[in-house]
Amino acid sequence: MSIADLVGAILGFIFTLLVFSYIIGDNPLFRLAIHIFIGVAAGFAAIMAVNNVLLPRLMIPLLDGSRDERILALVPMVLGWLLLTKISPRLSPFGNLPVAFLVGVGAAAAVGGAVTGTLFPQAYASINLLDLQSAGAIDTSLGLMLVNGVIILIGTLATLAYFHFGVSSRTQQPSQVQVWLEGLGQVGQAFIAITLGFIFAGIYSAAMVALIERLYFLVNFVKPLLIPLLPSS
Amino acid sequence: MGEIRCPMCGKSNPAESEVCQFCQARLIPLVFSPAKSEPPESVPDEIPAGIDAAPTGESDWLLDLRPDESIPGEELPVDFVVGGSEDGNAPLDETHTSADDVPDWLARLPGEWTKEAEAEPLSDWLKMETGETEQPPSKPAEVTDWLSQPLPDEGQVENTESEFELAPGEFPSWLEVFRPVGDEPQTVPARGTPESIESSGPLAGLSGVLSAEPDHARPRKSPTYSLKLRVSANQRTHADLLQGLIESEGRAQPLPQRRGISSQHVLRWAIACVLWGAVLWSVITGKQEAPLPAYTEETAEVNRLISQLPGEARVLLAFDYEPGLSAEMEAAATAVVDHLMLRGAYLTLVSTSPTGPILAERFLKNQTGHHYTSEVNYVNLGYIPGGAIGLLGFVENPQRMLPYTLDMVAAWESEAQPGLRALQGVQRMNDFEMLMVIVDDPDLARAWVEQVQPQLNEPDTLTSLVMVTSAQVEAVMRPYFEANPRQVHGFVFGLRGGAAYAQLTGRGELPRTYWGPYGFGLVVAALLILIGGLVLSSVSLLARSPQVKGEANQ
Repeated sequence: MSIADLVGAILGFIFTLLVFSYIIGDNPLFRLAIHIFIGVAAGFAAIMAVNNVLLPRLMIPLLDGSRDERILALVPMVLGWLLLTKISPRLSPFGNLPVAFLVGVGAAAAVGGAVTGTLFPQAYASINLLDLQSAGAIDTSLGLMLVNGVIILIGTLATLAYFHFGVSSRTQQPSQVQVWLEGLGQVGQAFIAITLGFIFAGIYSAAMVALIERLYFLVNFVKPLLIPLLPSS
Repeated sequence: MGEIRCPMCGKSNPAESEVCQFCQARLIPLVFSPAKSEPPESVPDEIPAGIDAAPTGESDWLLDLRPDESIPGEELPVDFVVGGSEDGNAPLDETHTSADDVPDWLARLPGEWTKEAEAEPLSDWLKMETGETEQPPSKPAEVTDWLSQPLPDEGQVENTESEFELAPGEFPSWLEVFRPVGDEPQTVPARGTPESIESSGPLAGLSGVLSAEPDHARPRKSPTYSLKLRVSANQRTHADLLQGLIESEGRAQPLPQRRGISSQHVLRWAIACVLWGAVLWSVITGKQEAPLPAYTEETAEVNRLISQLPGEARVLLAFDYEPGLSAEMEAAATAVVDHLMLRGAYLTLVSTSPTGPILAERFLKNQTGHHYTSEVNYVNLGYIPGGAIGLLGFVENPQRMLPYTLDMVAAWESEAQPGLRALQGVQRMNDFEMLMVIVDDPDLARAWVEQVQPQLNEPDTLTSLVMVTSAQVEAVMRPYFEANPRQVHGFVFGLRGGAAYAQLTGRGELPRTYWGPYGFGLVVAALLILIGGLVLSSVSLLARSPQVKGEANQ
């Protein structure tokens, strides 16, 4: 074990205990550990941004690139400087241009990806679940495929009905949700509850594995220190 | 004329009747009696000659048109005619004899002077009114009396009316009935009151005419409306509540006092001790070894795809998880990556998280039994900035997005250099044989599928997309796997998937180590949930029973 590994193990042991101190409630030891984690993460992200983004994507093309690369590198440099004007309230309007660029391109990428990567393919897949010809091509029993497709279809429609908040309005009558739509929405509520319970189980499972890993770390850290103290049998 | 028609009821009556024999309306108008009226003391000098001041208001030419029948009371006294013989002026008839040659239209023109006007000098105000200065006298022409009369002042009109006030006449009996009893004289609103005088147009100044401008067209004072909102008590309550919420935002909240040890604290410590004790006991003793779980379809599919990879395949490996979940992700991915290394795949490491590259280095370092060297067997391209945008840019042009390795070495093959071995022959995303994403965030996993998967739909693409995910991502990832056609070709989720994959390959020490305490901890947790639910239900039932009894007694 190198010195770095030893120091890392000691620091890991200490910070693990500091975080575990939250069991007695919010306390300065826990907050100290959280602040250190946040500071280290921010510093590491800054180093990564400089070393992995600014140097190879901006500085090297400007200093060592061809003429076209230099011209192209000027665009992000100018936008980056404009974004820095957001620090000053007086100059902050100049930063609206890069912010608008970021928001517009980000929204376009997210929406385009959602439509072509999730919405259309998932709708197509839901339709194919009830396609007997397509179902026969998969190595699964036809009846099971149909049952699966019907359940998914009902779940989809019921969940959509649960998020339908429109009401029918008639003159001289109070507005109310249609009865069949309300019943379908309750079925959708059950589907949503099962889904959220499934996700919670996944989160609990991940936390359990994290706890086991930390306990293994503590035991493995302490065991070599305790073995010499234990009486030999 | 033998009969006279009643103006009121329209029926015929004998000519000698003074009142209608049907409606008792007066048939013969009352005539001004000179004996009952006081003679005017003096006639104003300003009134020019030729003015017809007859009580009936008729001009001379109208009187000429009247037939010779004498109507009682028609004879007017001489002194009543303005400009008559009393003041020495000639009678009006004399003007007719001297102006026969003048046509009527010329006689009606204003500015013409009658003979009387020529004989008597004009007063000053009349000269100013007509604009007459020192003009030579012209031939007198016949001018209608009413036309030659200048417009008198308002005060003069009032004086004239007061001077020639008619004497009260006799009312018919039926009209006397409606007459109010009292000595006070009744004031009848006179026509031409100032309120009804025309103020604009060609009839300006005249009274008793129809208004040239309708009432609604006249400018009026714009109505004023109150700006005070009419709100109900309920609305006022809601408005006050909202205002209170807004004001409370800027108010400093006092720090809550530190509470003492409550039953909640005790319960939390008890649960933690039970759970931690069980897991710690399992970790220390290592006696709770449980059989590894059976593999599932998605896990078997990943195993099949890796097994079918050609030798020295190029695999893109994305490490997109945070350090906090590294325990689960490493346990899930260790057997899978171990299988890839066994197949001799060249790995290209990327991450959309700043901490991802260093976690990837740590992961490969912990893969004992393999001698993977940086820039030989694998290349770490580092961090992809920009989230989904950067991911899309990397998918479309990976060379431009990440041109260097984490150690600032040019990674891609070009004309100047051959490029690193792990990236030889790779120009675009479809040149990889497999894309494997190790991810803990559902949104990030979906972003990878949405941005990368459409790129893999091109024909003749053999690149497969597999995922190693956290257990909490399974619900999001399964629809992509079960879709037809599949958007994700296989995935391994959580410790369970990693353990199942370890059973398939017979390798992977980490999931085997964790699986025993994990299963024991889950059993204890399930027992805690079950016991807690039973206790809570019992407490609720016990608290409800006295309440039901109390209601029944009432």
